[in-house]
Amino acid sequence: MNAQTKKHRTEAAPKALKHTGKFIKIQNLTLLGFFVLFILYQTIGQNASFLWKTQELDLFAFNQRYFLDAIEGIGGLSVYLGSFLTQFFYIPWLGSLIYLALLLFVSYLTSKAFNLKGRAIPLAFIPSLALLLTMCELGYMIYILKINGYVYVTVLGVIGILWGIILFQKIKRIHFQVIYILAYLLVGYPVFGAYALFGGGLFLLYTLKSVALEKNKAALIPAVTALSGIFLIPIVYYQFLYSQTIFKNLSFALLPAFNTGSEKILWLPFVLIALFFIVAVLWKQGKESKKTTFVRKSAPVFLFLSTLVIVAAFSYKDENLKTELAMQSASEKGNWNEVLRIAQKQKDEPTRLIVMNTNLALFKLNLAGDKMFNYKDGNKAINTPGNIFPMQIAGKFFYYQYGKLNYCYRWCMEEMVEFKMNANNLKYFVLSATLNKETALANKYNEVLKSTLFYKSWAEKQQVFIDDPETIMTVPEYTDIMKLNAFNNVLDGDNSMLETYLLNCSAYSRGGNPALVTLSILSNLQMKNIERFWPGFFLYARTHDRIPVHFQEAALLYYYLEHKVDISQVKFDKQVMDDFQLLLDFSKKQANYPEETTRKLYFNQFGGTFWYYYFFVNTLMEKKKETSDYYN
Amino acid sequence: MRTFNLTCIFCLIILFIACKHVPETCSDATDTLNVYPEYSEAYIPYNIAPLNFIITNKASFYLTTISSKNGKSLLIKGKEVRINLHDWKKLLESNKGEALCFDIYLKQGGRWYKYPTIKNHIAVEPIDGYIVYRWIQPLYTTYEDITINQRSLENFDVKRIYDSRLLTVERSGQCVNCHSFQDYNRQGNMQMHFRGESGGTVILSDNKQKKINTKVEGLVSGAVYPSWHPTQHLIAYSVNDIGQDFHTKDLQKTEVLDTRSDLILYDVDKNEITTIEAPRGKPRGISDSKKESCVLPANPAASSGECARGIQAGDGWLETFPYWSPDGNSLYFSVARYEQKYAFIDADIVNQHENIKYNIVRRPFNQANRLFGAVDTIVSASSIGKSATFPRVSPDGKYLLFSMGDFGNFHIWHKSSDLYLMNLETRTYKNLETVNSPDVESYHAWSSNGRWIIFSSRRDDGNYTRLYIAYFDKNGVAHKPFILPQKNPLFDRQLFKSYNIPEFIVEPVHTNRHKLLKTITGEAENARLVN
Repeated sequence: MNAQTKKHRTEAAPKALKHTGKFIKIQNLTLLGFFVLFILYQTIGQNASFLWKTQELDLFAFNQRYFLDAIEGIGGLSVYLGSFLTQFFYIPWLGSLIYLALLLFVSYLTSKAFNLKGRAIPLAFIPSLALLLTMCELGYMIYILKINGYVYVTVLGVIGILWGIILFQKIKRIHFQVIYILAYLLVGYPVFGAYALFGGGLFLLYTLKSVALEKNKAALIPAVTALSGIFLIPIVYYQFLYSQTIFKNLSFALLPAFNTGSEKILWLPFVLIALFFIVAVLWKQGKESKKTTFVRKSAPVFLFLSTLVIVAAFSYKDENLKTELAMQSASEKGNWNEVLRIAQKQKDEPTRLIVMNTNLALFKLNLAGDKMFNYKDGNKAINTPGNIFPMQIAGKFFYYQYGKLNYCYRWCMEEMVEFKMNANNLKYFVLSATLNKETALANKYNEVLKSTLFYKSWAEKQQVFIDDPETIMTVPEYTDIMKLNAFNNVLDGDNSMLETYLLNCSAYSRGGNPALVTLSILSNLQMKNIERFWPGFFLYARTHDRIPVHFQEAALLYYYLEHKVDISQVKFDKQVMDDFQLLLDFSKKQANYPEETTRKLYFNQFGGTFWYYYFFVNTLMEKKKETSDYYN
Repeated sequence: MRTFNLTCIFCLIILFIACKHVPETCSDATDTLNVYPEYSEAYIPYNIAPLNFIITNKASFYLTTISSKNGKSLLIKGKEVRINLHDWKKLLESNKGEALCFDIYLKQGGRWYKYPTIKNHIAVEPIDGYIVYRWIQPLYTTYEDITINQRSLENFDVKRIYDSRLLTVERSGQCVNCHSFQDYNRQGNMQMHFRGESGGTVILSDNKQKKINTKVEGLVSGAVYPSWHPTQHLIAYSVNDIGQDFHTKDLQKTEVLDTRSDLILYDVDKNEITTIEAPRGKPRGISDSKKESCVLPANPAASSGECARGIQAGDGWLETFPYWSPDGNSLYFSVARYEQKYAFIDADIVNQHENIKYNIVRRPFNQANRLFGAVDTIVSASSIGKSATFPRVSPDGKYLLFSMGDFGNFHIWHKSSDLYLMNLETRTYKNLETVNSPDVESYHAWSSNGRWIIFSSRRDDGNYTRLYIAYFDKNGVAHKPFILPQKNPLFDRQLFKSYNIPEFIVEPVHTNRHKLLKTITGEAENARLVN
């Protein structure tokens, strides 16, 4: 090689490196952009209502009692901070930005902890993406998770691990390492629970790596310290401090209990994080050279994109959950038209809760009698690996809306016992106690909401009604509910069966104000209870100028089937009578064909009628996942 | 700069000194003083923990003085009046039998106002050192974190004897209840039931712990409501088939009903259960296996046939809440007559629940042969359309304290329930009007010297039970109660649990949760039914 070529090559090398460096920078910025957009898509884009729900099923109150209760258990401080951060999902975009910022911070710490630079930077996003999955995969599980602030507890736990690694790496002397490991576990375990123990496990790996690669036998001392600490420190805390923890759960404190068969897939993001950290700790980084293969150069990008794909693939996607959340949100604002608008967009088979919410909206708008059977019916199982009952999701909401204030209160209490206090059950505690005119009790719950950031204004508005129960009847929402509360007391139980209980209560009620009578008829229509239909129907017919379409449809059909009552004095709409005649004629034509073939034909002709519902819809009989045993 | 700093320090000192003394000039306040909790006109033991409270009136400065006839007054600044324990004890110890005065001064709009003096009285008799109670949420079928706590009444120390979360795994919960002590725990004998996870009854006796299974074939259920014999190693239990239903509208919210209940006697040393035969002369009703009624012979000791065996389910008598007299020679309990009208007993009892009225009866007990004598009706509540439960005899044997409501036995859910006191010599009883409130008063206990009563009340908000203590003087008069004092005056307002089954003890519970846990998770010995 002559000198000129050599010179040319030498000058070209830095330029090439410069170009490569620029390329890597652009690549990393692009991937950062993907990362940010992906997180925003998975949060505010796809899961805004879900995130809003997570904060509603949590609580952060600015008072001493709340703080002391929160820090009582292992990892209590993480739970406290987690709940503090979760509350900002009340404004989904704000909460999402805070969440994004913390995930970016995790990525930054990851890069620092494992010295990820240049091409390796995309790897730093992997733990953050896995953390995102811990939130995105949940779906309905959010209703039965028993870790407050869960969305952020995982993030804080990983931050605790990363900080631990960063500081550990700065300590070179063996005896300082020993002190550090002990201090980390002693302080970290009550704060981060299992995450601190995992951090201790990583210190163990670091020290063993040092023994193996650097032949540093002295590193066995901190290795033994780490191993002993992981086992002994939780036991010490159990013996002397934590009086409420199950012994066998000591090593799993702050981790969710995804223990049953189909729930185990939810461990995926935790496995990803653990694998990442273990590999990162054990990896021997080499310098990039000309001999570095393309595969090795592109591995970080590949792994980043693969993780992105895994998160996207395993994120919970279920339109019914979104529909339920949107409907509940609209219902709680009294926007019943919005509920119907959402119901009209329903494409897939709805869950019972969607059907119930639609029927509720129709009832509140006085449209149920005319349009109830125009909307999609269904009984789709709740799409979740865990065992969840409709009562847990929306029991107190429906009981409240249907005037069953005691039952609303009861289920608030059941939920508080099982899952601790949250903003959602507090609101219903306040509402049911207020409408029951239990002033001192309503105040007790309302005081907690007043000490929150986002529910304070709601609580202050509510205080007016608590202080002066006479004002309750000036609010249409409350008046409507009190009308439904105008029944005689009975001692009974619902066996945790929400819809069945509500329907039976209404169907078998006798008399009452017009709202109760209407509800009774509607319930009997849904239950296809002919005998109980007639008393309500005749009472309605006597007291109203116009009878809703579905009531007429049922009366004509039941009369035709049984001929037990005299409907000659009832005013039927001509259109309804003509349609009924059409039905009779149509039925004669289809009489010899099997139901499966004629069902569609009937639907096309009579799909929005009670008649179609009576003959072809049996969703109430086909109960899925609503059993009489709340806890099996 | 230096002058400025000195001036600031000087002002602070002046301010500090100024606030260390009661204002010399002040006007009489015209508005009402609002404090929580409200401690006034009550008799308090001289060894009670400080009566901390909070002043809720708005002011810029708050001063409270606490004084009595002897000793130095206490001065506390701030709206939260948290009294120094040492100073408090010194003041009360040196003023037994005297009045205790609280004077409150508020600075509003630049002027000091003095509120009328709040007076309490310091009794000459002490209160027992501890109480043990259960913390539990009210109104539920699920259970999660239930604790049995020992609270010192002389300070604010709380020891958690047991926490059910130690064995609650996700949805497999554990309930713990019915802690009960022999003779105020002087010998360290106590028992507790555990339901659900690792269920059984744990008995601590003679420094040993054991777990027993009292669910024996032939009994209505395992042992439920306990009462230790004051001297013998015997526990009287009721066995109850308990159900719970919910009111759809009534604000009492829940009704707890026994469909069947009977009484048994458990020998702690022999691990044996004997049934307590039905009252002489009363028909035993129909047993599950035998469809004929039989009447006990006059001498229960001669009973050897089927009539003496086992407990008849559905025999028409509901017997529950046993309690021994202080001398151990009598057993008090509540009993109600129930005639099943419909086939399904659960639905039937719900229909009839307002007609089930309990009386309090007493049966003499022969400690030598452990046989019971004839029934003596002590409180015929049913004759006045009421229902009486929780009989508790005073340590001197002179008085009977009980709860009485409109019907049923689980009076904590009945707003009509009040405390009543019977003079056992004259057999007259009265409503303890100074003690009762418009809301529930129930579960009560006597202190070991018979001068203090502790009881559960829902007077604060109608739902959460709080503990109140009332003085019972030697003339048989009960005085205005006061709420159990707390270090943080707002503690009970912020607590979302109920206090349950308060029991006085003179000796603290000596077990620790690790030993207890070992016993609970161990194998249970099966108790033997001997008759």
